[in-house]
Amino acid sequence: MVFSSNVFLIFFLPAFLICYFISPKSWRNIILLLFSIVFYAYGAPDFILLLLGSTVINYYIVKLMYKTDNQRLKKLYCGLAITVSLGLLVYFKYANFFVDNFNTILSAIGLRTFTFTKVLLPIGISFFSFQSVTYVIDTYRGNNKPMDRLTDYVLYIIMFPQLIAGPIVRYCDIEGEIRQRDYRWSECLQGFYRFIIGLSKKILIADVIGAQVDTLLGGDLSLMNSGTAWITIAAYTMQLYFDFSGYSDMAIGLGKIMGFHFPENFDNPYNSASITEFWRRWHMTLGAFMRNYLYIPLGGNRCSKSRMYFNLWVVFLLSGFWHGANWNFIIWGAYHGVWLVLERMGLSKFYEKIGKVPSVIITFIIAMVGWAVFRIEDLNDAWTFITRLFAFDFQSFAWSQGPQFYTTLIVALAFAFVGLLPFGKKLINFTFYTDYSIKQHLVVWPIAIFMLLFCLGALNSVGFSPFIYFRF
Amino acid sequence: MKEVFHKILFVITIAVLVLIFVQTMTGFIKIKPLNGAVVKTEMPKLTYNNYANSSFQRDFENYCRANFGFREFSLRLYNQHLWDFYRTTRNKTVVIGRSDWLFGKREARDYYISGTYDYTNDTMVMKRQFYQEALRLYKVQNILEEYNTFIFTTLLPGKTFVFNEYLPENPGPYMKPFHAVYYFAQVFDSLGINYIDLQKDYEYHKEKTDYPLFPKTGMHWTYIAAEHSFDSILRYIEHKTDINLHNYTIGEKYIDKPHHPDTDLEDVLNLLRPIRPNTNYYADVTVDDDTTATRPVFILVGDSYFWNINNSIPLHSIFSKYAYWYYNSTIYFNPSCNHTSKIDILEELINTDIINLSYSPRQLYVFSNKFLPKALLYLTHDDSEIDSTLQVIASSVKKDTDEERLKDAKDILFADPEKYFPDLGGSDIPTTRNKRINDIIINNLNK
Repeated sequence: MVFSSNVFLIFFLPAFLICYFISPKSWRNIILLLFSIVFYAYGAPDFILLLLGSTVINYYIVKLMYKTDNQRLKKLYCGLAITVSLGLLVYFKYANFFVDNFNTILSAIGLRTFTFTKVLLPIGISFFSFQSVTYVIDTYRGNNKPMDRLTDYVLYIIMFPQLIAGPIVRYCDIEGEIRQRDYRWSECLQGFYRFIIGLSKKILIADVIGAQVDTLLGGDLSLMNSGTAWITIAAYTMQLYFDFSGYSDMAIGLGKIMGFHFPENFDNPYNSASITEFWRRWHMTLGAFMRNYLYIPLGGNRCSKSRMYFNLWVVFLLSGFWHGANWNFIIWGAYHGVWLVLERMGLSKFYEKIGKVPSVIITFIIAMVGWAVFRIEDLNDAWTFITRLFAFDFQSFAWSQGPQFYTTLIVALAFAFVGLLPFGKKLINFTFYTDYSIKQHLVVWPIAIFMLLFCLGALNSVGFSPFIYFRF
Repeated sequence: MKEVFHKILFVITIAVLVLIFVQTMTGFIKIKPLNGAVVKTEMPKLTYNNYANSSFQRDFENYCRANFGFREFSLRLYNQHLWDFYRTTRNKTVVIGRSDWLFGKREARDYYISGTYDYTNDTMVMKRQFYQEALRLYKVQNILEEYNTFIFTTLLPGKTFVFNEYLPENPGPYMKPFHAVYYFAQVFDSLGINYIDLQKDYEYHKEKTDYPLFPKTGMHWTYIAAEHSFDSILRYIEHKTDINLHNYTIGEKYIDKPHHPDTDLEDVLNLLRPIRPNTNYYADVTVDDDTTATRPVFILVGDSYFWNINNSIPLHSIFSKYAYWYYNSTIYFNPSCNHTSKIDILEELINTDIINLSYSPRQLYVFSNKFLPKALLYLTHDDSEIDSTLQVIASSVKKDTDEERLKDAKDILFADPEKYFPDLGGSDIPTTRNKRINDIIINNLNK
């Protein structure tokens, strides 16, 4: 089930909210758990038992790990729990990729390939696997105690707002709220507004732009002029941002309604003056996961420069691979890794010299070129597209995508860059982080209800579209 | 105080969500329904199998999409914003032209490419088929003349052809268009077929009338234009026959009429508010008293343009009997028979004074809707011959029931009667006649 579907908006959400708020506080975790199971089972009936089974196994392994004083055994349990979590991820997400590539090698050297039934990808596996890893490692490191109740742990893993596409919530960030949380009605309202903002980002911006991006990239890329190529990649850049950040807003908003405070996942990433900064602002919870559970254990900054560059590059290579089992994602990750290393090697000093705005523009262009590889899975096509970007052939360019597309793209760009202006910062603070007065509620609430109906109209006039990050 | 306010507002928020849910399930608040063709979506049944293979989820989402509460309002709201801000629509059947003129998408394509696109892309095949149909009409016209039945064609005007300057630029593909309406006029001229070319007439008069020929937001001619055009049609009939028809007077034009608004294209955009106040002109029609005038029997075979004539002119005062064979399928205004498949076509052909084939450019690719082959066949061959041929064809049709086999056999025979009755081929008028014609004439004399 997706948030921007009729089933969720019309049936699931009202049913859940009523059950959740009329039940006593002590029952709310169970209500949330049951609805989360329904949420996942509705969309992925084949995998619900796998998800629950692996979660239960991990819970008990971590319990055993916590109880034992034997460090070797503790390490063993930790490894076992991580293997369960990441083993599922590796099998379901990467088995097809490895077998296909292995078969390619076999056929290249003239050997017989072997047949393999393709594995289906359980939705959200990249996210819930990482969440369980944070629980295992944080408990292993002694940062927190394991959950007393199995249901609370299962709830942490499969809580429906963040189950499918994050944010990746570290166990230590949410542990307290699972045990006990305060309910403030103003936060419930803020959560609802945040949800509507996310829904609007997804339906009114990402989907409108995305429809044209699909059309543009569906044609013969070698015939595309540079103007169209830049428009296309700028559009995809916005589509991806508004799609994913829209989902994150909905997840954070739903969490707020229920009394949870999920970490932010985006902080105006296109306002970044370097790729290093970009990764502090884009998919922040993944960045935090990679830093805490991969980069630092590899040695982080506390090693030789060459080792640090290598660590950095490997982390981004793996980050790319996490996004999808395909070479384009690996190349995309490596591409970002290279830019990060270059910035550490001195490029960031150049950025400082040229100032904020030129740096932001350069970073934006670097990110856009990266998104071309990210979006176009066929590497030959991706290369063709990139050559069209830099062919500087603008003569045959025509504004042929219709006013709705261009207007939406301009609005998207304006929202993406508004944070650069002092006014924009105020606007963002007011929208997301202000405790509204009664008067402000009386203005904002009708707008939110209007937007809900408007989004329903848009959703059903255009059609259903899943979130891009569901596939990761 | 503030917390109480927040609580109340949040409860209202949940109530709004619940209201949408309740409206979805019950539709208890009556809302103006959406216009256009609707495919009814049934609530899918939940079984383990369709749940496990996710078909229930897909079908249920489709069901919700078609039935969610306040769907009508929210879709109109969204469509209104598309119109107001971008002059665009999600409706796949409407093209928004210059100065807010609306056109049918297929009609626009007809203008730029071909009015026969739905039939074939091959211009030579089209021309052959159209010539064949014109040849049938030529033969039917000449045979019916023997029995004092006047048959003629009205080439109706197409909005995209008359007001092409308001069409949006052709998005391509760029090719030399083939326009059936001009081709038919050329062939009718060469064969001496009775026809009135209103397309040409409208092109000539489009800047000269003090009333609109087509509404900006509708597909068919305006009521007032239909009234003037039908007057031309009556004058044409009088000119070509000895029949003295009733004249009618078209009154002073006036703006707006609450019933039958000419906004069919605007309607399917499903907007919240009208595009602009309806400024189409209307005029009331009164049929003149004339004791010397006769009231013949009239049949019109054709497309939906006739509705505007029927809705604005008191035809019962002009014709003693008239019937509308809508696409040669459903029959309107004939109390004894409501479908052409059930009617005795021979009796109708002989007993009718005037038959009008009336097609707009969009529908010319199905000109006559098999009326002409059927008429030609029944005029020239005995029913027994036709029945036995139908039986032969039916025996080779693979269908479950005799009824279905016969229906298919009729479709096959009327699509190409010359194949089964070679005497109908060529350009000569067939000399044989259905023996029952005499019975019908004698019967009429005895009445």
